[in-house]
Amino acid sequence: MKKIFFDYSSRPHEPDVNGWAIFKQTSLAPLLPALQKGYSPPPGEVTIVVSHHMYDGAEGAHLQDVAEKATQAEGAFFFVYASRTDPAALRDRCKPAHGVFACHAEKLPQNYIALLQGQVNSNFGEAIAAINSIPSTMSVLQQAQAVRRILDKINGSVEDDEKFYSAIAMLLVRKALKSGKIEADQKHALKTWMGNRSDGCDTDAQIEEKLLNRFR
Amino acid sequence: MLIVHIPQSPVLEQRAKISHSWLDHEIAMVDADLAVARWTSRKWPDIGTRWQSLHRIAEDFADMLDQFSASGLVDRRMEFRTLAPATATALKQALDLLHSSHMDAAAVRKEYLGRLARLWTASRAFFARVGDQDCTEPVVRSSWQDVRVAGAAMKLLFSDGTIPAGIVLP
Repeated sequence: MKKIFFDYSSRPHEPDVNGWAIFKQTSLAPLLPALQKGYSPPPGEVTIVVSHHMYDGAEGAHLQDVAEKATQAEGAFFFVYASRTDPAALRDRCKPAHGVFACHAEKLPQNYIALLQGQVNSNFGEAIAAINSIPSTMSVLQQAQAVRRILDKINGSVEDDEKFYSAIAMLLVRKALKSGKIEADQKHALKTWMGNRSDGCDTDAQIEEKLLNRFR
Repeated sequence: MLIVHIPQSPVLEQRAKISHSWLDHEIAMVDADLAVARWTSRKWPDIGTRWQSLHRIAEDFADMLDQFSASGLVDRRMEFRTLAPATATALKQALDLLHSSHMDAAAVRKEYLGRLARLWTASRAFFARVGDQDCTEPVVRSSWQDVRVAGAAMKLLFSDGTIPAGIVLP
């Protein structure tokens, strides 16, 4: 399995870590062939690329093209976009069906060396550790399936989303009520809304825990 | 106060285009050597066209700075759909008031537009110089440095939290 990590920090170039080849983000040469139409990934090989930079528009289409060609060549190409600064567009822009995944930046610590060694207590750290532990004796198809299962997890689930937004909704209503800016009749309506919810009796600490849990 | 990333938030998508796509990838990560290489390979005219579009996005973003308030979630999230319209409006107004105590959008807008104007002035000067047939490498380097300084000043508003990294929960 070919594992590539694009480093977006200002630290000096690092040697390979745990089988991950590290390239400076500004040095796109290793990825450029993959971004050019007509490129065919090596047959029967699994390639995974982690980058902070999402390739917009045409470049994004190239990535999907590469992923599709890799599949046709009985291999697999996965691109993981790990963004600290603009995860808002992740779900829109990343297409797991085409091998392009997203990772919330909060799961990606500055110390990526520890991350690549699988020592970080986060979903993404666990994913890296899981990828690192995929036996090379597995068939290409099995390796690709294993990577996909792992990456599907870091994208998060709909259930996680519902818990997260439910906690946000509760937090907002509580803060608004405490602000003293709500008229009595509307205050009553909001309290009724809270009372009708299963999480209506959650403490502030429980709500905060649910919010923070998304980033663990 | 928590700052959260909410997918499909127009204000966060525009923020990303300016802070990440433009200021990080098009300016901060392009050093003088790369600027010169782009000049010798005549790549700047195409980039200049792209920057026109980024500049328009950056100008429009100034009018979106009050959208970091969590009040925008009330209309967008299904959790609030059972609220009567008057209750939803009261909730949004209360959240906006809370938000204004954390962020003075008008003051941020003024500072942001000032730095954007300085960046755009430096950018226009740079593109004019690299488009000049008499341009020399030292001129490219020095002019690009002006762009980077102005870009770094603008980036600071994003990196120091003046412009929040996500929707601000009160």
